[in-house]
Amino acid sequence: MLDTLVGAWAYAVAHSERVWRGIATHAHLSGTALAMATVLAVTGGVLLSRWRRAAPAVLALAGLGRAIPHLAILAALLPLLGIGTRPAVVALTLIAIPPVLVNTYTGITGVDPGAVDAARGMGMGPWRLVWRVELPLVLPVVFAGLRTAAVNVVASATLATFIGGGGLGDFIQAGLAMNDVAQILVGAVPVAVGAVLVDACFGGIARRLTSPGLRGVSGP
Amino acid sequence: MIAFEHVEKRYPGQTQPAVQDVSFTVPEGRTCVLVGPSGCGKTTLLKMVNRLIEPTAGVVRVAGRNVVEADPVQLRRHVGYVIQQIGLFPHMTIAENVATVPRLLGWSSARIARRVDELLALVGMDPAVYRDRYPRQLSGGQAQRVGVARALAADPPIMLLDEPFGALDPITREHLQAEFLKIQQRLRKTVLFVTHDLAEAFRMGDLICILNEGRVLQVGTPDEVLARPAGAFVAAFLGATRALRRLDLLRVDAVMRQAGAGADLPAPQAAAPRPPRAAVARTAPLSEALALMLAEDVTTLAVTDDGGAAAGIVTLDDIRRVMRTG
Repeated sequence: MLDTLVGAWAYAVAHSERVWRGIATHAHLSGTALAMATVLAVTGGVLLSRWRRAAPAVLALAGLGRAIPHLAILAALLPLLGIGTRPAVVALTLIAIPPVLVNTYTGITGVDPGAVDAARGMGMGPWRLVWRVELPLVLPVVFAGLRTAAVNVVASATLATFIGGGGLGDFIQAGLAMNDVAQILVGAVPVAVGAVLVDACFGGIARRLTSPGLRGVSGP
Repeated sequence: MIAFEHVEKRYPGQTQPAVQDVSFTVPEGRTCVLVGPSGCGKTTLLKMVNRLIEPTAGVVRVAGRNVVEADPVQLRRHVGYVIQQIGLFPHMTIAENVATVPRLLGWSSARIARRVDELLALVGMDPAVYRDRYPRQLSGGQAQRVGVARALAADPPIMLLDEPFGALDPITREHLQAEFLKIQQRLRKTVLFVTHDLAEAFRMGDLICILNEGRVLQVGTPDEVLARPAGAFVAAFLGATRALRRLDLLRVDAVMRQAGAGADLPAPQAAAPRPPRAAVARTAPLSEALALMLAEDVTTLAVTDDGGAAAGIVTLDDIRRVMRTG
């Protein structure tokens, strides 16, 4: 065990440039996908809360999206988008959308109807209602979804290597092919550490952004 | 002024309109209470004033202007709105909650801060203590005080109150009713007030509008409505204690006999053979005078004025007479 770790360390030091590039690509893939997913899923969740008749169908689809193996999503996109970074980002975005979408929608439907009635009755337009009342109120719930999505994406980004997307998955795939556990660890350990860090990081941001007025009522 | 002119609201798929052919006017500076059993359309009518609900026929006017011609968002910023669920924004401080409409109207932050403190003081909450608190730290009664302050923030000429005190315990409710009356006496807003609580209706209203199944059955002053209920439904709705409510409403000085000018209460022979044993204030409700008569087993009371000096007498017959003539 210790030998393997020492071996992994030696490999990483010897190939530090490639490792750093792998980490950078991995972060780039995950970050882009998460950013896009957040915008799309929060917007989608808000729109869905305004068009609740469509909600059951969309939520079922989102649930299905979570159930499909991530590798299958990548494979399915291959004939459509080809290989490289772009399809990898698209696939990761699709992976990240469901938890954020579902949480945004359920969060908004759970907002106190009295607060919404009061906001409208005092002359808040539809945009203000979303920005000033609904989103700040559901922020903890949205962040909970975002944390799930982030961990999923950072882990699943290792699969990008199968469609030539690069990232830390390259080391894992090569290690598997050559039966070289040290190389697998060079890919896997930063991914694991990254997932934990991202989760903690989002948790911290959520706590800072959440109004003290909501503390102890809901949230992470 | 708020005016309803032949207002109707039909919901698709419902045979009975929620509101039909409603016409009445709330004069400037008066409080009109909409009262009736649940589902009678009172909240629907209220929400037509700030266009949260649109009428399917007829016209609602605010200050003479048809509300349908106004931009709903602008209209609502000039109409105060208080609801039973209170609806404070839990993520905002009390000050931010109260500042909602002034911020929408783009007031300067200095002006907003001044106004917030002024309003919190008006509703009996120390600004220094409560300004930076959050709604979850308030009791129900305090939260609705803030709700009222928030509705008053931009000094709207019109206030809509939808069962504002309905969710509060009876003692808190009475407190808030009393304070709202005091505030209203100073500010003289044009108020539309929805309740299903008769005691509250007669306490708060200058005008009472009784509704059932979407129709107005009677509009009048509390005394008119209690003295001459329009029809069997209204009489039944007001209940057997209608006479007691009227006694609560009428004041002793409405029926008392004045002492002769300069005379030190030589009671009129016919009415009071002996000088009365008990006294009641001239501003007291007749119910108090009657209760005192029953308790003391007398038919005549001395009436005193604000300073406690004798002002006249009131007899059981006087009370009977006003209740009969009604």
